Amino acid sequence: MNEADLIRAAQEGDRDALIQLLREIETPVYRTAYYLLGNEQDALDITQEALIRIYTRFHTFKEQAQFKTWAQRIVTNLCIDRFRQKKETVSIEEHERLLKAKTSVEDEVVISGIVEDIQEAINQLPDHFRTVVVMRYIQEFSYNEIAESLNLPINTVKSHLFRARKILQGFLREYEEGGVRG
Amino acid sequence: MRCEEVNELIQRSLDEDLNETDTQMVQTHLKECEACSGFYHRLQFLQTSLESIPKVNPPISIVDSILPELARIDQELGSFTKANPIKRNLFRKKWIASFGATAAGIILILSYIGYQNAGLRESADFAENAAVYSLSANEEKVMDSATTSDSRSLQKSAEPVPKVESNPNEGAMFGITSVSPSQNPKEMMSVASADGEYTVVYNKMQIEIYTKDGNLVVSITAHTGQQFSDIFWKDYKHVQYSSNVEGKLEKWTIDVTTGEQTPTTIE
Repeated sequence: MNEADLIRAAQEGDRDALIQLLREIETPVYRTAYYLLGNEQDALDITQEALIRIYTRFHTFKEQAQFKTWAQRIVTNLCIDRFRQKKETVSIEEHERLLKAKTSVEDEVVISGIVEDIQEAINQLPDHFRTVVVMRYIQEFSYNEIAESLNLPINTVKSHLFRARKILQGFLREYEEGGVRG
Repeated sequence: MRCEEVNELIQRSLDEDLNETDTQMVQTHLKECEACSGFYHRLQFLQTSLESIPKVNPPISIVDSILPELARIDQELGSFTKANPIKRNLFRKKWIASFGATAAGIILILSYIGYQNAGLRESADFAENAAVYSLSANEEKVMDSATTSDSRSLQKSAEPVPKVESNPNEGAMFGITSVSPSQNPKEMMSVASADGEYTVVYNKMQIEIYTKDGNLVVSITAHTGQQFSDIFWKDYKHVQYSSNVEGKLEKWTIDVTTGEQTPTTIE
């Protein structure tokens, strides 16, 4: 059965179809949680919570929306709640440590090193920017799908995404210049 | 073309949101402008980096890990069958847990309360509201007829469900305390229709009506500043409730068969 068939069957009360849908959405949901929360344990917790919520609220799913964006909305909302709680406990020193760019990197490992650093830099983005970046690059969503997932107007999605990339390219420029914070 | 505009076009180019003409314009500008060219290359590099962020996979099957929880949720509100599209709400957990054991009890309670000719609402969390908006004579009559048939359904249902914990003779107390043990205003109250076909579950913020099979047929959530009160069965198929918005009182009747709401004429 393809996704549309599974959704129809689940809406008619086929429990196995709904479980199958959960299996198909599990990995993308986990990835969002992982990249928004930054660690495996929190990501597992939130993914469990999100899947249970998808299961219990499935009757509210309207077919005008895509199942994948509906699922993403549920997990991002849970993550936003979670990292708001967590943020209060992160110390300023920790924050600064995370913000530091590396000062010298061998050319050969530049890309992988930068990917790691960019991941760290993403973690420092304001919540809304980070969420948009995860939707765009981890979920590979279009503007439209991001708008649907985050319940935002498309123009807001674009402006968040553009500003996020601008901040991140600023980070790259520092990188090129040898890491001003080093 | 201003650099600011070009920057926006560069951004859009990363999302393949540019047409041929725009792309040409950007390319022309980049040849002449070092700042924009630097921005363009950094964004290209950033794009490659973002696209190469490794896509993690869950270390375990998360669905498998929640199957027992899903089964438990199913049990709380009856099995998930074709006739039973799910409607569960973790926020009602506490109520659901006690519902199974007391489902039949509720009918007993209703009968008892009806027998005592006390308003349903006195058994609810809305006691303070109920005191303000007393029942009209007409409503009382409807209640009487409903509770008369309760007595019949009581005789039918009492036998196969022997698990009611309290003696119906203690009805008044039992009726209040067992359905809503905490007396918390957020706790959901539940009252079955006289024929047992439907159950209304409610508090000040939410009214939901289920069939006896657990299908949700009506769900109403209060908007900000709104409170529900005075919820009771007018007859087998109609629930009346009062909506209080900053002191402005409206009475509405819900038809459980259609889900439609109509204002109740206030005499």
